[in-house]
Amino acid sequence: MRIFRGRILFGAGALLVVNALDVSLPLIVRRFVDDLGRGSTAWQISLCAGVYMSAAIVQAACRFMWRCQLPKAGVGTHASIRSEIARAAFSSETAPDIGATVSAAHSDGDTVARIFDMGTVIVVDALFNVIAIPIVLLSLNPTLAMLTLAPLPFISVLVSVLDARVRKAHARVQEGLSRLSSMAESTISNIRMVRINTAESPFLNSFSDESERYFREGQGLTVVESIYGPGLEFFISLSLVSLMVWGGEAVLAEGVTIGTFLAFQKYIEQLQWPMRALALGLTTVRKSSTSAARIRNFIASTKSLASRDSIAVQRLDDGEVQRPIVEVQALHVQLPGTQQAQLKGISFKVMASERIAIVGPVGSGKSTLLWSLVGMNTAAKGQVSLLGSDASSMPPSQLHELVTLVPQEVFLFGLSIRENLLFGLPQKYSGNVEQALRDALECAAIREEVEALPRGLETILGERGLSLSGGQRQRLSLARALLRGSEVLLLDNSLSAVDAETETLILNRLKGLPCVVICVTHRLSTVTALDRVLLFEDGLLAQDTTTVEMLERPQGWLKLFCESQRAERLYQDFVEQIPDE
Amino acid sequence: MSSAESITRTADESALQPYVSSEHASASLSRPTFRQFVSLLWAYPIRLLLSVTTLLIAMAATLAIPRLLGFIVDLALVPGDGQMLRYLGAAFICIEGLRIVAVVLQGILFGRLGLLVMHDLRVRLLDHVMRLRATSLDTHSTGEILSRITYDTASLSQVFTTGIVGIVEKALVVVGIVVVLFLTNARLTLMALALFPLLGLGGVLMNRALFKYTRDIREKTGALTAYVTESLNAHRIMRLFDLQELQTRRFEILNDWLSKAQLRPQFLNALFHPAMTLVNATTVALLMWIGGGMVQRGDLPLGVLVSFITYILWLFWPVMHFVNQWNVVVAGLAAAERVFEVLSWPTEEPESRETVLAPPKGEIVFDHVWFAYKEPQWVLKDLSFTIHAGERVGVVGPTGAGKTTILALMFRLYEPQQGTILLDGIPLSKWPREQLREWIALVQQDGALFAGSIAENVSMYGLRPLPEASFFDHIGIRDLARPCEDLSAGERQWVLFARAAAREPALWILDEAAAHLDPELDLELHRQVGEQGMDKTVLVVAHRLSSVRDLDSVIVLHQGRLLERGTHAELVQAGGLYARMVATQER
Repeated sequence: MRIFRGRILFGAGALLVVNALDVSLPLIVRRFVDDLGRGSTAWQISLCAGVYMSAAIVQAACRFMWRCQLPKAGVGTHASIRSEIARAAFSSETAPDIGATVSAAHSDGDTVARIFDMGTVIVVDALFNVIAIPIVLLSLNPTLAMLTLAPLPFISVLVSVLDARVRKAHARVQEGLSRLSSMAESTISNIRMVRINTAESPFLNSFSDESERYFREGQGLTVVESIYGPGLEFFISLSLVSLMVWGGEAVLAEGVTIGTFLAFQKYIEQLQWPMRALALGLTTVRKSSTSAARIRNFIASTKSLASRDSIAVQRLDDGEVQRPIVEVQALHVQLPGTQQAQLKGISFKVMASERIAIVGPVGSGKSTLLWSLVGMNTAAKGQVSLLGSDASSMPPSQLHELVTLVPQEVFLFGLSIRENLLFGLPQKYSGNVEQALRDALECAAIREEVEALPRGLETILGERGLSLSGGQRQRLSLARALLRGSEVLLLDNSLSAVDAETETLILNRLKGLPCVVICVTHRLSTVTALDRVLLFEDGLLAQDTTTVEMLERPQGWLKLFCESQRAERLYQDFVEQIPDE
Repeated sequence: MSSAESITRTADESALQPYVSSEHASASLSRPTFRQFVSLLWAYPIRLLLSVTTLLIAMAATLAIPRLLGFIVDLALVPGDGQMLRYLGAAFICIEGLRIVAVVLQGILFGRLGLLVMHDLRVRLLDHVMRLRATSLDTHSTGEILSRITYDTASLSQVFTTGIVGIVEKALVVVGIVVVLFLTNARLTLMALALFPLLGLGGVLMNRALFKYTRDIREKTGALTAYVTESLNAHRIMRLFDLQELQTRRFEILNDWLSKAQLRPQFLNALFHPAMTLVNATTVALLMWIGGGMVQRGDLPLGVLVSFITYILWLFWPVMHFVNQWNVVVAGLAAAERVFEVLSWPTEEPESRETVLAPPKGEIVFDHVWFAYKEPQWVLKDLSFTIHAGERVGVVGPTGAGKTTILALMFRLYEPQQGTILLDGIPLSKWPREQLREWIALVQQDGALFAGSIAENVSMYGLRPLPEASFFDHIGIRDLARPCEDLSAGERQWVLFARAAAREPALWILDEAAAHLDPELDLELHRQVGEQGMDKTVLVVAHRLSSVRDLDSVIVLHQGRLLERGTHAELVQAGGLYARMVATQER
C-alpha cells in the first residue's frame, strides 16, 4: 500500500488554515455588530467588510488546495491496494474466489483508503474545532460558554449510538435486497417451468411476501435515519435555547454585547460537524482496520508460485524418433477432501512422434493425469520427466513451453480472435506472426470460417461480440494451443463438439507436427485416428495396447466401448446421408 | 517484452477497449416516465398529503428561526426589554421543538411512502415479467431483468427518501428565505441575491459534468471488475500460457483509467466548492459594507441586518445540497426509465373470447406448422401429423430435429408463425393458457425443481393435492418435507413425475423421462403412466428406443420435418432411419 504522506500533510495544513479562518470569521462579524451598535464610522465598517472578504479569499484558496490534495492521496492509495490484490490473485497457484477478490479490491480497498482523505478531514476538523471554539467561547464569556457548551458532547454520544444502528439497519436492508434478488432470480430463470406448471401465483405471492419483508426492513432504516439528523439538531437547539435564555439576560444586564451573543450562536452551529466527526472518527478507524485485516487475510490466502531458474533441456529436433518424451513413474494423486485416490501409481513412457488415446469410464483419473503432467496438480506424487529432465525442477514458464494442455472447458476471452490466439504465442517468439496464426488456424480446421467473418481476426468474441458454436470455440482453443509449438500436446476431450469427420481431419494434420499428442476421449473415431490406447480404470492403467490390436481383439471395458461407439457411429452416418432439404 | 511482440500484439490500451461498455442514459426525464412516476404516488393520496403537510410545517419553522433571532435583537436586546426576551425565548423553544418533530415525521412518512410505492412496483414488475411473451424473455437475459426489478427499483426508492424530498425541501427553503427577505427589505434583498444566479449557474454546469464523470467512473469500475472476473475465470489458462505478467500489466492500465476517472469529479469539486463559498462570502461582505452604512444612517434596524446575514449564510447550504442531491435524482430517473420500460415489453397475447373450458379428450393435430424462434431459421418446416385421443405415440429423431419445440408449442409458450395446432379439433389459441397447461402433464429429463421441500415441489406450494405417500416408496423416500437440493438425479426425476401426476392431466408428455432412472425405475414409471393415463393420450420423446417400441405408433422427425410414421413393426419393416437405429442398438 502506497501512502502519500506529502499530499496528506499539505492537505492537512491547508485544512488547518481553513479551520482557523472559520473560527475567526464570526469574530469579525461580532466586531462589526458591536461597532455598529456603538455607532461606528464608515471606515470601521469598510475595514470589517474588507477583512472579512480577504479572509474568505484565503480560505477559498486553501479549500481548493486540500480538496485537490487529499482526494489524490485517497484515490492513489486505493489504486495501490487494488493493484496489490490483483497481483496476489493473478500470481496465486489456485484461483481465488472472484466475489472475495472484487469486494476486497473495491469496497475494502475503498474503506481503507478513506482513512487517508476522509480520515484526515475528520481528524483535523474535529480536533481543531473541538479545542479552538471552546477556547474562544471561554475567552468571550466563561459562564455563557459553560452553559451553551454543556449539551454539545451529547452529539458525539448520539452519533456513536445511532451510527451503529444505521449501519446495522443498512446491513439488514442489503441482506434483504440480496434475498429478494435471489428469489427473483430463481423465479425468472425458471419462468418457463413456472408457466408450464401454472405456478405463477405461489411464486408471485412468495416474492410479494419477501418484498414486504424488505419493505419493513427499509422502514426500520428510514426511522433511524430520520431521527439521526434532527436528533443532532436537538442538542444544538438545547444549546441555542440556553443561549437565548441566559445569554439574552446577560445582554440585558450589559455583561455581554450583542455581537458576542451572535458570535456564540454562530459558533454553536459550527460545532455541530466537529462533534459528529469526533464520533465518526472512531467508527471510521474501526471500519478501516476491519477492512485492512480482510485485505491482509485475502493476500495471505493466495499462495504465490515459487519462482525457479530454468534448467537446461535439449529440445526436440525433427526426425528424433527414438527419444522418450514423456516418462511417468509411479504417479499417485489423492486430492484433499476425497476418500479415494484418483490415480494409484501410474507408469508409462511415450516416445517421440507417438499419438496416444486415453479412454476409460467417468472418474477413472484421465483428466487428473493431464493436469498432473502440466504441473498444476498440487497433490501429485511420483516422477514426471519431460525430454529426459525432471518436470518438477522446471519453472512453470519453462514447463508450459514444453507441454500444452487444451482443457475440456473452453475459455475464450471477450477480446478479438487475434488477441485470443496471441495469448498462446510464446513470449520470445521471433518468427512471422501472421504466418504462425494462419498455420495454427489451418491445422485446427477453422481458418476459412475465421476469414469469412466480416472483420476476420479482429472479430470480438463473447457477450458483447460474436458467439461461436461449441465446435468453433473448441477449434479456436486448439489453434491457440498450437501456437505454443510445444513438444507435448495434451487434449482433454478438446474436440468433443467437433463432428467426427473434421476431428479426424484435425488429428491427421497433427500427425505432421513434431510433437507428442496425448488425447483423452470418449469417441471411437478419435481413438482410431491415433496409434496407441491407454485404458484407465479406477485410477489404474488397466490396458496399454495399440489401436490396431484394440480394434481387432477388444477386451474388457474396451469391448463395451467399441460396441456402443460403433452403434452411435452407424446412426450418425445414416443421419448424414439424409438430404437436408 | 520482445520487439517482435511489441510489433504484432495489439497495444494493451486498445486491446482492453472491449471491457469498457458505454451506456448512454440520458439525464432528462421523458414525459411518459414522469407520468408513470406520478401515478405511482397518486395511489396513496392520504399518505402523500400527510407527508407534504409535515414537510411544509418543517419548512415554515426552519424559516422562522433567523427572523426570530432578528426580533430578539431588535425587540428585546437593543431596547433592553426583559419581558419580551422571555416571550421570544419561549417562542423559540416552541418553534424549534415543532421543527424537529416535523422533520422527523417528514423523513419517516416520505421514506415509508417511497418504500411502499417501490414494493407495489416490484410486485407489478414481476407479475408483468411472468406474463411476458416468450420472445421477450429470449431477448432479455435473466440478469438484465433481475437488475431492473431489484437494483433499479432500489435506486428509484432513493429518489423518494433523499432525492426528491431533499430537492423539494431545499427548493422551498430557498424560495421561503427569498420571500422572507423581500418582505423585510426589498432593496437589501436584491443586493444580497445579486450574486446568487452565479451559484445556480455553477450548480447546473457542475451537475452536467458530474453526471458524465459519474457514468465514466461506473464504466471504468465495471471494466476493471469484468477484467478481474474474466482473468480469474481464466486462471488455469493464464497459468498454462504463462500470462500472469501480461495480465498484471493490463490490470495496471485499467486501474490507472479508474483512478483518473475517480479524480476528475474530485477536481471539479475542489474548484466548485471554494468558488461557491467565495460567492457567499462576497455577499456577506457586501451586506456588511452597504447594510452597515444603512444601519449607521438609521435606515435599517440592526436586527434586520443580523437576520439578513444569518439567512444568507444559511442559503448557501440548501443550494449546495441541491447540487449534491441532483445526482441521486438523475440516477434515480435513469433507473425509473429502465424500470418502466419493462412494463412496456409485450406480454402474452390476451386470451381469445370464445374459450373452451371442458377437459380435452386429447386428439392432437399439427396442420402444416411452420415455426422459427428467430426467422428465417425455421425449426419446424411444414410439419403435419395427427395423434388420436388415447393414442400412445413416441417421438424420436436426432438432436435439432424439433422434438423440444413441439412441446413448447403445445404448451403455448410460443405461437407458430404459420399453420395451426388443434386440440380436439379446436385451435390451441382458443384454449386458455392456464387451463391448457393444467391439463398437460410433462415429465422432463432435466426439468427444474424449485427451492423448497419435496412436498412443496409436488403440490406446487399447495396448489394441488399430494399423492399418497406410497407413491414415493419406489425411491425409498418417506419424509416429504426433505429439501430437494440433495436428491440424486433419479430421485429428482421421480419427484418431477409426481408433480406432473398431481394435476390429473388429460394428456401426458414424457420428455426423455427415463434418462436418469435405473431400468427398473424406468419400467415402473411407464407402468405408472400407463395406469394413470389409462385411455389418455401419451407422448414419449425418447433417445432410448426400448421406451418407444411398445407404443401405438412412432413419429420420426428429422430437421423439423416428419420423416417416418408408423408402429414399431411397420417402421422396422420399412427399413428407413428407424430400422437402422433399431438394428444398431440391438446388435
